[in-house]
Amino acid sequence: MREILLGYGSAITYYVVAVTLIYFVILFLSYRGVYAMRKGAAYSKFQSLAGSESAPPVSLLVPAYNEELTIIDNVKNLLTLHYHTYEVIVVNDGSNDNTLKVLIQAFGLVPKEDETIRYSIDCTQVRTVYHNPEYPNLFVVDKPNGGKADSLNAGINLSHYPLICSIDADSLLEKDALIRMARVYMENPAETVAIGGNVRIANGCTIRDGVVEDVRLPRKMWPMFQTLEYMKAFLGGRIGWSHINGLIIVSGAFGMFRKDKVVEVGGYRDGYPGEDMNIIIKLHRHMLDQKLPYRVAYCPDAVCWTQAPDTYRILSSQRKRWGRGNLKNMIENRDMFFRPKYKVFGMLTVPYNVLFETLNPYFKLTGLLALIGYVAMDMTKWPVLLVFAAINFLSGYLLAVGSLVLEQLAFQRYPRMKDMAKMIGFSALMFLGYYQLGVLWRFQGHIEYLRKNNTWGVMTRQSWNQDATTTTSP
Amino acid sequence: MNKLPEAAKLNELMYQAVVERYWAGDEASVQDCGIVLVRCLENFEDTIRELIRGLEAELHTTIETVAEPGKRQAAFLLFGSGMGLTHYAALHVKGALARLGAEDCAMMLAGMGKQAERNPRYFETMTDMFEQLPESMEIVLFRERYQPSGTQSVLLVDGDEETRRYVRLRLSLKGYRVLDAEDGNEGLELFRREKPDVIVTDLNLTGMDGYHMLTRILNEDAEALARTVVFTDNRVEETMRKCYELGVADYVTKPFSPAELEQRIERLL
Repeated sequence: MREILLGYGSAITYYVVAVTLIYFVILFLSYRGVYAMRKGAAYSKFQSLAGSESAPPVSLLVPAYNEELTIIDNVKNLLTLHYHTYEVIVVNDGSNDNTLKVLIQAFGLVPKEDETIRYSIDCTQVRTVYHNPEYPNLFVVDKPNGGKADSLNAGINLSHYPLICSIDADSLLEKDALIRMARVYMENPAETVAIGGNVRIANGCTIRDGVVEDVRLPRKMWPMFQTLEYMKAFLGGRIGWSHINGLIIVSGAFGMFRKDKVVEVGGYRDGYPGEDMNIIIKLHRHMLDQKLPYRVAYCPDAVCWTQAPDTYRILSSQRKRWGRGNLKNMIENRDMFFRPKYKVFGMLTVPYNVLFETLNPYFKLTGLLALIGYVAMDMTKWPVLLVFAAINFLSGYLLAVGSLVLEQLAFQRYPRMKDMAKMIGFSALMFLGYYQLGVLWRFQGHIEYLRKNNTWGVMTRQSWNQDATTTTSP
Repeated sequence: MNKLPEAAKLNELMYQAVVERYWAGDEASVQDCGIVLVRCLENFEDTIRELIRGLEAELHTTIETVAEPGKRQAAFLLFGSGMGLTHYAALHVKGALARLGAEDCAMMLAGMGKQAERNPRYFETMTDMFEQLPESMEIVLFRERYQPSGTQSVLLVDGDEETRRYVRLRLSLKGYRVLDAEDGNEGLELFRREKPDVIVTDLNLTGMDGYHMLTRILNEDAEALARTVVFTDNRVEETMRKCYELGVADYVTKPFSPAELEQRIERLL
């Protein structure tokens, strides 16, 4: 018994050391990526690209399900981006509130009879396409409920342009987000299949006319934790992964894709959460199977502001859903695990995700049990445990602060000293409960998966002007 | 007496003379101009002829004269004279009238006013005031008052503050009254309130898309787009086509030549 426990304990220790090392390597790559990006930005002026025909036109796809509170602001925001030619396709996914009605009213829409849709990807039959010549760039598609992926597929079928960009209906884009992404695309148009954008938390910011005007940190605890978490994931993580072309996910809230490639892989997968990770995995698989050169890029300066859940209930439901989606994707693509054929993606990204993301809860929980066992069987002393805990905390904290420094070096979205101090403080607080909760939620997500619970869970929407709050649960 | 054109109002004649002088010649001829208005109820034609002769002898130059015999009033336009010389001329006129023994006369002294060559209303106000003057041997000085609707106004809608400031400066040096708006909603509101003579707008605006703002303006005033210049960095053929189809008069792309923009605005007025 003691030997087993000891062996297991050392295995877990190696695991933790490996995780930490990998995080540091990724963070290091992120720094390099940001450095290259900063140098590049000085020479390529994306502003002049905004009006030039050499940047390809983009179709923005906005799936909307029960979004009557925020949809008008969001569409207004999307209609005033700094980009020469693009269209906004809002897909009303059979909402049972007034989403369609408020859209028709606000934009004076009328059914567009001469619009034909090519069903190049399977999706629910579209009922009506609405349009108003006064807003030539706006299309609203009405279709029966079929889920987010189905809505995106319907949007792809209607879209008129070679690039598509998926955007959550509760997100706002910065004015130059599209053109910054297009710049990254233009650097290598032949090989780029997808580009991820940077998602930031808008809670606490002042929003007027669908534009984020004053960037502040959230006042509430849960959004604050998520702000730091997103910052760490996007800046400290995804920049690094994209540097070695091993990005496994492009956030569903804001990502750009080559339409022809998305159509080739059959569009978004229906019926399960995690469709944003799934499409990227499918793209990797498709391109590697065909032995074509490709890249999945990440553009950290293209910013999308989103509303983070601000209550425990909704946050936990969201995280369980993510856990479920992640597990499903990993099980579906288990054949890529350590397959040299799939290069960086198969040899690094997938194993990393399986071992350190998907299975993370089990290692963490059993590790905790082992610790309790140690103490119970009197195999260790408190000081040793404390030293372990301290090292673990310090390395984690270093990573968190590392991504904060990255943020301040490259983007400076939070210029106030007060905000900086608050972020550093909360980065430490995250070790006292928030990370542990994250592990728990993921574990609960796996249980849901095994129980074949396949709902989207609760999600509330808050109107962008802070006064009105209403809850909808699909 | 050279000639006295007839059957036109004094202010119109003055404006015409000024415009001919200012716009026919080259830029260098834009100069000061003093104006002396005289009304003489008795023996009008002879008195004026006498005054011109006296003035020309005194100032050693020909003097452009316009007159409205019906109302028995005339104006001497002293091109190239500052206010000092004009005042001297007015005193001379006063003296001459006294010597001629003319009674029932009125005199007014005026300068050109800021950008008056673009602004017929300036002369209209001047003659209106002159007509209300009682007959006396005092010289009345006409002071130009600020008239908001007098000068040509340009509505400039652009999201970039630097561009706005620069174009506003250039245009106001040209004598336009520039209303500037940062975004589409503000632009539309200003359009409704101020009814500008020319609209210069970007397409890429916050709050409301520029193209949509133009459609709204078109709905409210069918004529307005014919005095609209789209001023944008969008160089896509399709967008230009859409804007021209909507009815805008001109399309200037950024980066831009300020001289070209000014010229295209000028042409619309």
